[in-house]
Amino acid sequence: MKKIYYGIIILLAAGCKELYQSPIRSSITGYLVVEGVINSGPDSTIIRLSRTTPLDSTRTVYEPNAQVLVEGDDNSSYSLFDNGSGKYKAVNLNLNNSRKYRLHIRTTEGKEYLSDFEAVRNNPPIDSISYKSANNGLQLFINTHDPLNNTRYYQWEYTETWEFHSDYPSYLSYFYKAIPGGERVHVGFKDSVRFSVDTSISKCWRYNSSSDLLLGSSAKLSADAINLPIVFIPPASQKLSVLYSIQVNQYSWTKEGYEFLEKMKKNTEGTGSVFDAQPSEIKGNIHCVTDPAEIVIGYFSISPVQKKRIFISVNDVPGWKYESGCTVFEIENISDSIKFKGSGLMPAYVMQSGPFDIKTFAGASPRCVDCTLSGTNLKPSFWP
Amino acid sequence: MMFRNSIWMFLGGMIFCADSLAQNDSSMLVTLEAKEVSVKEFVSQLEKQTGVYFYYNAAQVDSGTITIKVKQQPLRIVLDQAFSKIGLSYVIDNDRHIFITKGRVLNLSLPVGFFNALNKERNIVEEKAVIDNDNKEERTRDQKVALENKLYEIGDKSVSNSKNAYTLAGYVTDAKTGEPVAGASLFVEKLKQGVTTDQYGYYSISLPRGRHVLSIQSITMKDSRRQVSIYNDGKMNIELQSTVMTLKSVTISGQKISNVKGTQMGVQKMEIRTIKQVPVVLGEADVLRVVTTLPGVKTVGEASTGLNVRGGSADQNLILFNDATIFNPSHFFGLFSAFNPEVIKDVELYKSSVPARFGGRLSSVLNINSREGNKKNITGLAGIGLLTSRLEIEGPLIKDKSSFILGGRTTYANWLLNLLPDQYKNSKASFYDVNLNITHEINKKNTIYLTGYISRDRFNLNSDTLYGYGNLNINLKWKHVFNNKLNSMVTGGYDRYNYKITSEKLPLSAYKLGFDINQSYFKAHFNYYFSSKHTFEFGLNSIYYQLHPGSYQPIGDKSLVLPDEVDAEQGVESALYVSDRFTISNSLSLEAGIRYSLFNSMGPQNINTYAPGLPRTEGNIQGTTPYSKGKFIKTYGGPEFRASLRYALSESFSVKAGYNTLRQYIHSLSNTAAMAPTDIWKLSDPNIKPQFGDQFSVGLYKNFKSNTIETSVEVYYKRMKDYLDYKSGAVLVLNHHIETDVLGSKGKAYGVEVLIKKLSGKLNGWISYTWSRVFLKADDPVAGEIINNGKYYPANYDRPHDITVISNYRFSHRFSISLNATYSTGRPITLPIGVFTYGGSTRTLYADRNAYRIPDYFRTDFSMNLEGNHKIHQKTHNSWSIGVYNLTARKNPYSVYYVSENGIINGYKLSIFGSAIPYINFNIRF
Repeated sequence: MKKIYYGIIILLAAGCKELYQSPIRSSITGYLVVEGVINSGPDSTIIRLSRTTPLDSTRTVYEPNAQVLVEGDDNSSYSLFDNGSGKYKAVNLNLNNSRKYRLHIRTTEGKEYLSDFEAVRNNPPIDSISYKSANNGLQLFINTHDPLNNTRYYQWEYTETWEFHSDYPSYLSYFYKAIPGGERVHVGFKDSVRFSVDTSISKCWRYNSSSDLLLGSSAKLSADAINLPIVFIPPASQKLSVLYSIQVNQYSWTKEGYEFLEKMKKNTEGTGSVFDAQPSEIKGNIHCVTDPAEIVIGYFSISPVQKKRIFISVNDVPGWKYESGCTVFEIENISDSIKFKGSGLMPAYVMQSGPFDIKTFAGASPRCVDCTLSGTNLKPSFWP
Repeated sequence: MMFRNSIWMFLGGMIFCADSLAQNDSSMLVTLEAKEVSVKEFVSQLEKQTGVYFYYNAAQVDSGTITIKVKQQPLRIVLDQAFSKIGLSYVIDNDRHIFITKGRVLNLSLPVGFFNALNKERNIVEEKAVIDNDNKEERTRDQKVALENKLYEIGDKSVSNSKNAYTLAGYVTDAKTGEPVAGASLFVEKLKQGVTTDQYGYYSISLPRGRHVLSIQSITMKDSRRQVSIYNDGKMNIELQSTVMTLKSVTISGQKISNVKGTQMGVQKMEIRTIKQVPVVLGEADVLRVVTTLPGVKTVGEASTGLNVRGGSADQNLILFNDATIFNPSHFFGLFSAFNPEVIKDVELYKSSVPARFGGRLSSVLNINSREGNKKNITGLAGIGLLTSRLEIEGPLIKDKSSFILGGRTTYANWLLNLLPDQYKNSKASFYDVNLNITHEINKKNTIYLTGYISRDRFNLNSDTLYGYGNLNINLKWKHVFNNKLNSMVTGGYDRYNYKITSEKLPLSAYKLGFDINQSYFKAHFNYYFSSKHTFEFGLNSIYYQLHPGSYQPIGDKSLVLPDEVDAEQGVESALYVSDRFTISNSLSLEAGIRYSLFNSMGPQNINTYAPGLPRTEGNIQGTTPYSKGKFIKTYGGPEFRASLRYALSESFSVKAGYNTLRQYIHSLSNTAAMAPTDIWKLSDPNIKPQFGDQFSVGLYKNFKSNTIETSVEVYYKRMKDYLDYKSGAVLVLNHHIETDVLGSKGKAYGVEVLIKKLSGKLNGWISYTWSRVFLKADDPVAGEIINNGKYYPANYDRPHDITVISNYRFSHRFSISLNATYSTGRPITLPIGVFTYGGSTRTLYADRNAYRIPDYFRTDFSMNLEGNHKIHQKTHNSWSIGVYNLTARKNPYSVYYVSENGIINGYKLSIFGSAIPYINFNIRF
């Protein structure tokens, strides 16, 4: 709907969009932002403290060197330690499920922040991550259920990793030779002994993390069971060219915490139409004790974090055709020809051999030959 | 004055037309020598010499002196010579009476059939002046004079009657077209007593026994008068000549006086003629846009025809078109209003004193009346504009008895869409609307009116999703006159609004989404002219609603869409009302009314029940109670008070005060700032309370320069309760528990409205200034959300300063120019105060709702109206209107929004019209 109206406005206004200078001047280090979930289980907990920044700023301003404590209503206390980057970490908190806990933060400027006491929430393990073909792509689903029917509000984060290969093997390299008034160039084998492929740039991995708030609730359902689309792999995507893996972290929220995230999500969804819904303020359960009027962004929540990783091979998805959009050009191994035709291309392999030398070779866009230009050639530890 | 009146009575009662006889007597010879003598002296000399007898009004003739020297000249020549120099006229009858008048010549003839009528029906004098269709100016003027001089006897003088006051009633119509003249004022100067005609041209006035001069004034008609002698209750229909064809227009308006004299406050009435000369975007005369130039009426922005009246939301306006409720009054994304200007007669906006006969909305009633067709001839009009064309035909079905008017409009905007950048090239948008009104006079006591209206909009914007919406309205009204004092109007009708969204490109997800609202209604309204001091209105209304809040269905066999349907809603809204217009004294009058409204929410429906005292959230749904068909689920109701008081300090200056309460049982749900076609309506039910509002207002009204300049100042304070606001991120479509996404809030609004209006003369127009505020508050924890810490915050349409100048200058009757200017404070918006990173992306931080404002709004428009020549006998009359909307090409921001571009959050302001928009329109009347 919004798109429609946006369209209308463009229609009527073509060019009536102008940059707007906000009358608001917020300071570089604005309000405290608290992100993260206390992992009540044995795994590590990471809480990230940062600051709101002016509208036109591009980088995140972290809040290092604060004192961060998880305090129980039984007067227990656990510290989280900063590694200097604003990320506060603790391992193996193993909190008591029957107790309530709160977050206590003291910043370097002496301000104190406290959250409400929250109970440790249940978080059932992820049942599965399933997938099925949809619209020529692949739709992945998250499946989970709580037999106790009391989790209800879920959030997920994922990290995708996929292996991909360069489209063309890399045997060749340019060699330059200075001549009076310039230089000459020709191609030759990188490995002039074995004439073998350069494997260091033919096999790589790429990562992608979720940047949307992925929320799901079974509140409307009779059973606490979730089957929701979580990520869509578009048709012909490189992600499924060889092997793909996704790890999903599942968090459990209270209804209020869930609504906090939902509002945040809606506020930052595409805006800009005549018929936009109005944005709203978001209030979490963390408050500034020193200055009660100060805005604090964040919602303190405690639950075990559930993780699940799956692998999908190209063979698991029949008919998947990765389209790289790469083509090769046949270039004569002559300096002028290389300079003219080979501009911006990278040599890959021999096409025609002469008696003493390479006569013509295949040149392609660098990203089609060198996978490290878009990924890393370091194999992840969990990769099979 | 007295003297002249008695001459006319004399004429009316006794004189037979006998011009030829008079000729002989006047040929007698006169010898006279006089130097600078008064008229009085001159005529007395002649009386002595010739034995004729002069009648004149001394005050009228004493302005000049006569110098004359004649010897044995015929009397006529002497009189001609003497009077022509000082502008006097005379008439001689066969009894040698000479009547001297200033300016116009008395007509001694009487209309055909005058005596027949007088003899046959002494009780009821029906004026049946025969109007020739050749429309000769001379002739109509003569008739007018004759009608005005004639004495109408109502009842039999000889029959003595114990009553000391009688009622005279009838219709005031346009002599040329037979259409009723609404809002004409009839008054007896001597008694300081007056009434105005209703929408159907009907009047009823109470007069004491005896002889009276009834003056009739209307904005579009020539002033007229009738001499009546009243001895019993009776009827008199009055035909007025329109001023359109006269070369020197005189518009002394009954309405202007009614501004000061009427009891009601906050009422604005506009004739379509005024509306048409205001320049608007794309040149299509637009009722709603012109209404927004009035004080106290605002809009959120240009792409919206939603009105915000005195701090009310768009759904708090009852928009009635001949008593039919129009749920979506706009076409083409709000650029055009749904009303065809060619079939509209006038528009009344009630923003404070809402008459007791109206109810069901909190802020205002916008009553749009259509014209009745021409009862004498078939006429029509065709108009061509850049985006729209319209056609209108009207005429008699049975001459003088029944008439029709048929209007239609359509658009051809696709060419405009094709000029757009590629990404919108395949867009389509179109609309049409058709109006049909039929009036039939069964007999003198019974008239029926049929109104039909249908409109449809369809558009898609380069997508496969097709949007469509439409209004359908039909009603039948029966006006019955029981007697002079009591008449009734019974109305039955059906209104429907629906929208539909379809998408068929992807067979697997092809769907249609629909919404509709239907209402059937019955209204019985009675006017009872009890006495000259009391006029009662009473009646009852009943509306049966049926809503289908949302239906989501697959299209085709392949579609995997799961059908979803939100329960239909039913309800009955009824009201009983009575009001009295009480003239306490000449200077003090009161209009008081009470309306008792009742709403029953009805089954079949499943109603969610919530844990008491806990926020109304999904988590707190305890269960669902099913209600069977026809069962009352919940009943709301209560009295609504309507009162206004007027005290006249002088003829042209009055003070008024009013208090009003209103209840609203049907709500439009929208979380957008503007009124969108996909807004849904919702009936009150156990979880959604009706809205309640009251308003107190005080005003001063003063007219200047014999009522040609009208000024007013009104102050108001208004409270609203259970006004529906939405929660942050509310979902309104296909929501089975919509009460969890909305919250009842409180509101308060106050302001001052100033209006200076001049609707006659070469330079005409109005200036309106409003200072107003409107605040809302959501502080009920049970509602589930507290906005801005439970403090009052300005509503979306809170625009404190608003000034509008509408001006028109008529160079001649064929050429006029109009210039508008409007300035208002920018509307409130919620701006982000910073950004932060959360969940892997940059997000904007919004704080208090509506804490900032978009830049102020300013716009000027210009138009020229050119008409062809005014010769009456041509087959067609043409007119052109050429104009420029937003003359200064100012980019008035409509909204400000933030998007993330390359990791940076950028703010943009969006304007709807970023440049000057010229237009041209051609009209042809036949």
